[in-house]
Amino acid sequence: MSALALPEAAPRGRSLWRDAGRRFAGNRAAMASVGVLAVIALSALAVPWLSPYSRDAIFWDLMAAPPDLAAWHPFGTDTNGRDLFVRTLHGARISLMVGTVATLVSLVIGVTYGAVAGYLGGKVDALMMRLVDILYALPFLFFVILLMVVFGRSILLIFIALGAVEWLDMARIVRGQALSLKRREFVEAARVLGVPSLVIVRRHIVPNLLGPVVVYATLTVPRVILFESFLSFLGLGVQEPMASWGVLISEGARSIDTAPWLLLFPGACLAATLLALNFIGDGIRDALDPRDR
Amino acid sequence: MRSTRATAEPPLLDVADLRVDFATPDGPVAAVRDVAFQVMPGDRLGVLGESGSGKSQLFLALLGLLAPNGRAIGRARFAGQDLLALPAAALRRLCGDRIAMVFQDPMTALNPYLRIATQLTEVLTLHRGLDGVSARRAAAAMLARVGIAEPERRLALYPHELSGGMRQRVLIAMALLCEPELLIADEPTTALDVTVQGQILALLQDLPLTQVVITHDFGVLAGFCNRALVMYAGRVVESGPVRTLLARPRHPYTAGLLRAIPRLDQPARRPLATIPGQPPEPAEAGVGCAFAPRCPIAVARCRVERPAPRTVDGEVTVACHLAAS
Amino acid sequence: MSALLEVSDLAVAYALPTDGVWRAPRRLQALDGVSFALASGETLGVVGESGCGKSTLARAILGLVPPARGRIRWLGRDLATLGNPERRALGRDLQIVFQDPLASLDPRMTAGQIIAEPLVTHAPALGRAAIAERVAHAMARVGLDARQLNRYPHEFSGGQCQRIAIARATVLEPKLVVCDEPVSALDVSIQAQIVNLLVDMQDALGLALLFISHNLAIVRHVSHRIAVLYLGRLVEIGPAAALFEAPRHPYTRALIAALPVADPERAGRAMGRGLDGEPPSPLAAPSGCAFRSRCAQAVARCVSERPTLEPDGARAVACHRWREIP
Repeated sequence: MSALALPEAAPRGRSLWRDAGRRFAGNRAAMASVGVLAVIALSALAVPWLSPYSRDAIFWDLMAAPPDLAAWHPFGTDTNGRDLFVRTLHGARISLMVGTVATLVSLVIGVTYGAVAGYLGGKVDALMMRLVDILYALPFLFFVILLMVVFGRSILLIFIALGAVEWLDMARIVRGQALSLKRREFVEAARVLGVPSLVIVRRHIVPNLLGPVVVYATLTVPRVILFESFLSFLGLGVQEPMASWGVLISEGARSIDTAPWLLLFPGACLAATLLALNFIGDGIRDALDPRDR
Repeated sequence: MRSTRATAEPPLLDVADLRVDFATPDGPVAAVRDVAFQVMPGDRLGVLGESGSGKSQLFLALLGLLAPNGRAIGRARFAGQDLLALPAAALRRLCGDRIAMVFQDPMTALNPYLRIATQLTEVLTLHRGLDGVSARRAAAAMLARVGIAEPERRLALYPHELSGGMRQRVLIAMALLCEPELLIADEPTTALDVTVQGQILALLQDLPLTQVVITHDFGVLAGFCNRALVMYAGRVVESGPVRTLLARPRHPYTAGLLRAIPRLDQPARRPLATIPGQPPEPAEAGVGCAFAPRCPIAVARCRVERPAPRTVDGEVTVACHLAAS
Repeated sequence: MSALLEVSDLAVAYALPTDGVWRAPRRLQALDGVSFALASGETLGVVGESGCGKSTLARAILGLVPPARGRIRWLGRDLATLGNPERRALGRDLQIVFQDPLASLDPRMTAGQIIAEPLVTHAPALGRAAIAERVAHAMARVGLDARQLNRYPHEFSGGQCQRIAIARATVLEPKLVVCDEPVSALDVSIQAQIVNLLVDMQDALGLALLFISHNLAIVRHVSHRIAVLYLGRLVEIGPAAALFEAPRHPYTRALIAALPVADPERAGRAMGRGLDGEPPSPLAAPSGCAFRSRCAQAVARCVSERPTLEPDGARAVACHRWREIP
C-alpha cells in the first residue's frame, strides 16, 4: 500500500482498528487475560532471573519432593530430581512457540489460498476447495504419527505437521469471507476502475477479512498447543531434554497418587494459557463487531 | 379532511417539553429537545425533517420503543394519560390498541420466518383475546379492507412472497386491526415505487383516523396532511397549516428545502438552490440557533441566542429571530 | 459530438437457483432488447421502477455482468471482443458512482487512498508527489477539504462520501460516468448539492453521464435526453423537455402524473392517481406488451404482439396505440 500512502500534514483519521482497540481495552475479561498471558510469556523468557537452577540440574536427595519455597523449589521436583518450576517455564517456551509459529504458518498459507479461491470463484475455486476437502479427509493423526516414526521427533516436524492441519480450516473461513466481500460495492468499484484481480485481493479483500482471521487465529493457538500436548502425551512430542507442557503432564499423570503437584502445576499453566487465549479471542471478536453482543 | 379546528375539543395527543437523550460512551447525546405540539382528533399531521432531525426518535419515545440507552423526559398526554409516565406493561397495552405505528421499511418490519396470517392474528389474540378462527377471519377482512385481493390466499404467504406495496398494505392492516385512534406512519411511501405511492396514500386518505405521517417528501405533505411540523437538529423550527407553510414558509430552513427540490416548472440544468453544509450530528449541540451555520440570513444574534418558538399570524409557530410577524 | 456508447438489442438474464433437483433452472430476464446511443458530453437519464432493469443496465455497460444477447459498443469497439487487459484499461474512460455512498468506499482505506487508487492503477509512472497533488485537486473540485484526506469513510457524512466517490470517478477525467441512483440515499438538501456538483463537473470536464434514477424530477433536471424502462424494455426515449411536455407512452404519462407535487392546490387532485396494481415480477412478464396488465388503453393487439420501438425524429416510443391516445 506504500504507493497509495500520501505525504501530508493532514490530521490522522480514526481507523476502525483504533475503535476496536478501544472497545477491547474496555473488556475486563480480555484485558485480564492479556495480563495473565503476559505474565506467563515474560516468565518463560526470564527464567534465568527467576530461578537459580537450570533445566537439567538433578537434586539427588530431592526426588519427587513437594513444593518448598525456601529452597527455591516453588513447584517441587519431579521423579528424576529436576526442579519443576524451571521445567514448567521452559515448557511454556516450547508450547507458546509451537502455538504461535504453527498458527502463523497456517495463517499465511490459509489466507492466501482462501482469498484467491474465494475471489476468483468459478472453476478455480471449486478445484481449490476440492483439494482442501481431500486433505481434510485424510486422518491427520496417523499421518503425524507416521512422520514421527519415520523421521524421528524433531521440533521442526511438529511445526510442519501442525501448520499443515490448521491451514485447511483457515482457508475455508477466508474463502467464505472473500465470497461475501466480492459482492460488496467497493470491490465492484475497484473492478470498474480496472484494478487487476490479484491486486484487488491484496488491497481490498485481505484487509477487510482480517477481523475474522485474527479472531480465528487467536482461537487456533490454543488448539495447536493442545494438539502438541496431546502428541507429547502419546510420547510423540518434542524430544528430551526439551519438555513441553504435554510431556510434563504426561509424566505427572503417572505419579498422580504419589506426587500430585507434578500434574497440578503444568496442568494449571496449560489451562490458564488456553483460557486466557480464548477470552482474548472472544474479546477481539466482540471488539471488531460490537453489534453481535 | 378537517380544515377547521374545533377549539372546544381536547387534543388527542398533547406533547410538551419533550426531550430524548441517549447515553453514549462519549457522553449524553440529545436527539430531541424542547418539542411541543398538539394533535387534534381528525388531524393529519405531517412531520418533516432530514436525518438527525429526531423525527423518528420523537415518536419511538412516545411509544416506549427507544433503544435501551435512550431516555425520554417531558409530558405526552394521550387521551388523558401521560405516555411517558406509564409503566412498560400499561404502555404496551395502550400501543397496538389505541395507538398504532407503521414502520418505515416493509421489507424489514415483517418477520421473514412467519406467515402473514400468524403475524396478523398475533395482534388480535394478544390485544383482543380472540381465538384462532375468529382472529383469522378478522385478519382476512382487514386485508380486504386495505385493498389486497384474494385475502385468504395471501394470508398463507410469507413476507418475501409479496411485493413491496403489498407488504406495506399488510403493515397498515396490522396497525388497523385493533382499531386505533391514532396512527403513526414512518415514511410510509419512501420504499415504494412512485406509481404505488399514490395507492397507499389513497388508502390512508380513506381511513377515518387521526394520523401522523413522518416524511421528508413535500409532495406527501401537500397531498395528504393538513398540518405540518418541520424539525431540524432535534427541535421544531416551524409548525402550522400545510397550505400556509408551503405558500409562505417562515423559517429559512423550510424555505431552503422547498427551493432545493427540482420543480417541473423550472428550467432544467440550472443550478438548484441549495442549503450549504449538512445537517448537524445530534452530538454537536452548540449555543445559538442550530441552523445558523447554514442559514443565508443569519445575523450575529442567531449565533449566540437560541430562538424560542413564537406564534405568528395566529396558527404558525416558528423558531427564528428574523421571522416577521 | 460522436457516439460514445452504442447499445444494441441488449439482453441480460440471471439464472436463479432451482427449486428442486429435477426442475429446469429459472431465468430472470432483467433486460430484454434495449437499444440506445449516447454522445460525448451528453446526459442520458434512465428512469423506471423496481424490476425495470436500470441497475442491470449500468452493470452490463461496465462489464460487471455478461450480456445474454446484443452488443455494447464503446467508441466503435464491441466490448465483448476486448480481452481482460483492454477491459481494465477502459477504467480510465468509463466510471461509476453507486447508490450507497458508504458501501462503495473501502472502509479500511482513507479518503486520499481511495481517490488515489485510479491514478495508481492507470498512471503509476506519476510519482507520489504528483499523485498527491492530483488527489488534492480532485478533492477541491468536489468541494471537500483537502485536509480530510487521512480520514476514513465512516467519519464522513453520506453527502461527503458521495463526493469522495465522485472524486474517485472523475480524477482521471473519464469520458462517461454511469451514475446509479447517486442521490437516492441522501437527504433532500444534500441531493441538490450533489446534483449541482454533477452538472458542474460535466460542464467542466465534458463528461457524458448515464444518470439512472427513479426520481423523475431530478432526472429531468440533469438530462438532455431521457429513456424510460419498464420490465427490462425500453418503452420511450427522447429529449427531456419534449418528453415531459408531451409524453407518448402510457407508462411515461403515469410516471409524470404520479410525481409528488409540493403545491396543495394541485396535489389534492393528483393524489391517488397512481397506477393500479404493481409492476409485474420479471420472472413472469406479461405476453405482448409488458405494460398491458396495468394500461388503461390496452387492446387485444397489446396482448398478442410485443410493440417495437418506433422512431419519430429524435424520439421513439414502443406502443401500438400512442398515436391514438389523446
